Amino acid sequence: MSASYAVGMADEALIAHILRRTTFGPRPGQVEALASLGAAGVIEQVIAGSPLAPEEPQLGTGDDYTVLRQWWLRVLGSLEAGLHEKMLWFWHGHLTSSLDKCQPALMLIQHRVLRAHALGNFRQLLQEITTDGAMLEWLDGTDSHADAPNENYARELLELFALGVGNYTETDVRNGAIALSGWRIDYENALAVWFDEEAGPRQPVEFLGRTVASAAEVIDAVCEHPACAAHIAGKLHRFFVGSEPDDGRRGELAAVFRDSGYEIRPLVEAILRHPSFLETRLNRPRTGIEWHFAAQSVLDIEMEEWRLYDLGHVPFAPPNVAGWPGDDRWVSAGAIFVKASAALDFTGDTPTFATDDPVAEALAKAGLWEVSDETRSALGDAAAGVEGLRETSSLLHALVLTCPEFNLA
Amino acid sequence: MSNDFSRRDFLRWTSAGAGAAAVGGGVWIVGRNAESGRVDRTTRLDDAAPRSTDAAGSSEPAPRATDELGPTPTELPAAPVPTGDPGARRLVIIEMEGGNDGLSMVVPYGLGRYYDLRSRTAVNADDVLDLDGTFGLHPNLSRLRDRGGVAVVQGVGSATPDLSHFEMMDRWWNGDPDGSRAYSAGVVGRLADVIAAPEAAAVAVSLGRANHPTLASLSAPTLAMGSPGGGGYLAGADEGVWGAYQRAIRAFAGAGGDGWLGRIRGAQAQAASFAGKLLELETTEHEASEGGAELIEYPYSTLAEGLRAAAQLFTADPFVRVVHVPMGANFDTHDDHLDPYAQMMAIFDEAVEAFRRDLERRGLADSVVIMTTSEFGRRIADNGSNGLDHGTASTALLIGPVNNGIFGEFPDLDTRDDTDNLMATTSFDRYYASVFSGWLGADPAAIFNGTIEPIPGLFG
Repeated sequence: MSASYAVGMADEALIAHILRRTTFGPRPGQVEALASLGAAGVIEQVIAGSPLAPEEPQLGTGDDYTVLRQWWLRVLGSLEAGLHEKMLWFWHGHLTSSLDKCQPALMLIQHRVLRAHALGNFRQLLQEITTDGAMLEWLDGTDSHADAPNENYARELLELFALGVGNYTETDVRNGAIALSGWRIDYENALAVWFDEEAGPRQPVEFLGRTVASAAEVIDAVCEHPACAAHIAGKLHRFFVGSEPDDGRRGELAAVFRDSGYEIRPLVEAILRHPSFLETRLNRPRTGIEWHFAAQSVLDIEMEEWRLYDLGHVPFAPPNVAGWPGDDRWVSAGAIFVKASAALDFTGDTPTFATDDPVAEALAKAGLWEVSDETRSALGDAAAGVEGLRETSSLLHALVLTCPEFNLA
Repeated sequence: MSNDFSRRDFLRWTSAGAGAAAVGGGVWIVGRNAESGRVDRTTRLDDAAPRSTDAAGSSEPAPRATDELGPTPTELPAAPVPTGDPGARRLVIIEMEGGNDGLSMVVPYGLGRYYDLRSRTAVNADDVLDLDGTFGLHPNLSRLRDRGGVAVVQGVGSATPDLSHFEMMDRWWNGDPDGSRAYSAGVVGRLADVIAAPEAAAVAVSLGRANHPTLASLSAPTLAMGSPGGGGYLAGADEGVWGAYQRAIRAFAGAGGDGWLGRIRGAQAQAASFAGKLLELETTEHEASEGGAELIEYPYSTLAEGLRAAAQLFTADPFVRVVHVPMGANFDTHDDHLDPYAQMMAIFDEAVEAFRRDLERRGLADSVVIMTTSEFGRRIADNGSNGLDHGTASTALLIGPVNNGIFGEFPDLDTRDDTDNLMATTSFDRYYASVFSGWLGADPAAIFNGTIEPIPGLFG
């Protein structure tokens, strides 16, 4: 499948856009290195990228909370982190759980599930996450007994994870909770999840217009509900394209998803190969984690973890079941303070630019191939206002991370 | 429990996920390194450092023999008469993260049942600072008792409580007791929307972390920042790289425009403008001290740092109306409740006393009210490890130009919900609404769904 792309736009700008959306880059030099492939070629290369298979962290040797977080941060920050890792981050913000409530060993087990299916089969992912230990703790499944069902997971499954408000009734929530009940964690046995028949459903219940009697049947009913494919397709469209799809496009993507048997990869490929993906650029803020890794690669340093705390985007710690909220927060005045401190704290360590056009060099290093005239002229004025290439280079490193365009994905 | 420290440490940072991180995590000392010109943010002072615990703590509780009320209620000193100018009134919200045990802060020491239920975690009746013969302040709140201006609100919580930190913090930050998810902005943000002056650079400020969800507003400018000392990054430098950087960010911001670029430029303008105010007040304070003005000394704690910053902000910027200060402590006392709790009360008492003296010096004693919040209280009965598990309803304090007294109904210790916890008698949205309307004159109907009748008698 091929597509026609925006005419007249330099390939570099499109490639930088592709890498902002599908990776945690671009890293310095990456856009230039890929320029000969053209935008379409880069999309294909991103799609063809291999998933990382990082060696797992050793828990139980110290501060597991820190070990786990820093392990994933290192993986996310590696040069090879591509589409698969980005999708893993997407699912972590969608099928949430948090260290706030779940121990690191459980979060690592959940992470394996998300990693295994990040571009795999959604139905399989949802089946496994439904009886995942961290999720059972996070949304109170471990306390749920068919005679006294806890509705937390059933509600979020319908509202957030799969269908969206308006596509189910309170009876579906209640009956879903009954059918989902009975799953327990064996804390004495490697956190294995097991099914306690005593606590599970005793008879089938009506759910989304069907009769279900188990967690697996609940997930089948949810996935096959007409709203499910559109719900997931819409959220992935927002993630990659930065906007809601119109009804027609949503329907097309939902059909791709459904027809493939809920395979995630064809849905993602359909989104990335569509002209709309390249047409709308810089139309959403970079999230905290996207800014963090892009900025640290420009500075070629490793930023401290507390800066992510200040930005409010800590791995394994989504703020609530709905994941990290909205776009505005990543560019709030408070976030501007945090980013300014990060930009300025490292100016003493930046390399010196070599060319006689340090502004252009700084912009390229930051992957900024389309910037406003205002930004370009502010950078030029700033560079002219300090003495010597050393100071100019320090200043421009800080400023390219601060300019409005670098705050956008 | 080798994970215990890191678990707590983590909670203090990100707390209930949403980053109750406001939770701070000790005091960050921000200062310019004289040699490199860089700002270092490397020194962390731990609030848990040993400090005096006064009388409270380890001594064995001595139950009173009977439930009889004391004969002569203690008179607290009267609070200052509140300023008559509603636009000059300010609010400080002190958040006690982790779940503050109301029964230890305002002790029902006249109820024998309290001592029956808490064999290991009760506060010794002989040490309690009496309020009315039945209730008394924690022994380490003596400065509060001596200064007066304390309204106790009993039984604050939710009719449909949850025992998760994250869930209940989220609800408190949104002013949403039932977790209805009915609000699209934080409760302080919605208040800011109602009381904002058009000139304000920031109507509400949170000290503790950027992006605090309780400050999310629909329209009013609010600012959640990691620490009060960050002004120097965005204002105040004239020369060199920092000066050029600050001129450039003002140039970015000045371009205006619409769409996301315009919004980011707007946020940059707001941040730079507020940084200027932060710096200005540092200079003013410095000059005042050089000029011989006696500055108030604050103790060393996250709370004290935050309150000092609040006092400075209120002086420097008349449009800042609310400051949210996470206490940076850990009230999650699952084990060994008494001693850590006594330390936290001492930290609270010392910091609040310094703040009130500072407000007095600044002529603001009649215009700042403090309200305390915490996601929940703790279980009535103590657990096997001398601690208290997650609870529900708790006690809140209003401090400053408020009427002394005990307000709201104390929950019956023997009428419990299905988690063996106290039943709330005052929904916490009503608590918020009472302060927002009674003190700041904001219409609760513009901030909360449904009709809320404020608690009578708290103010004026």
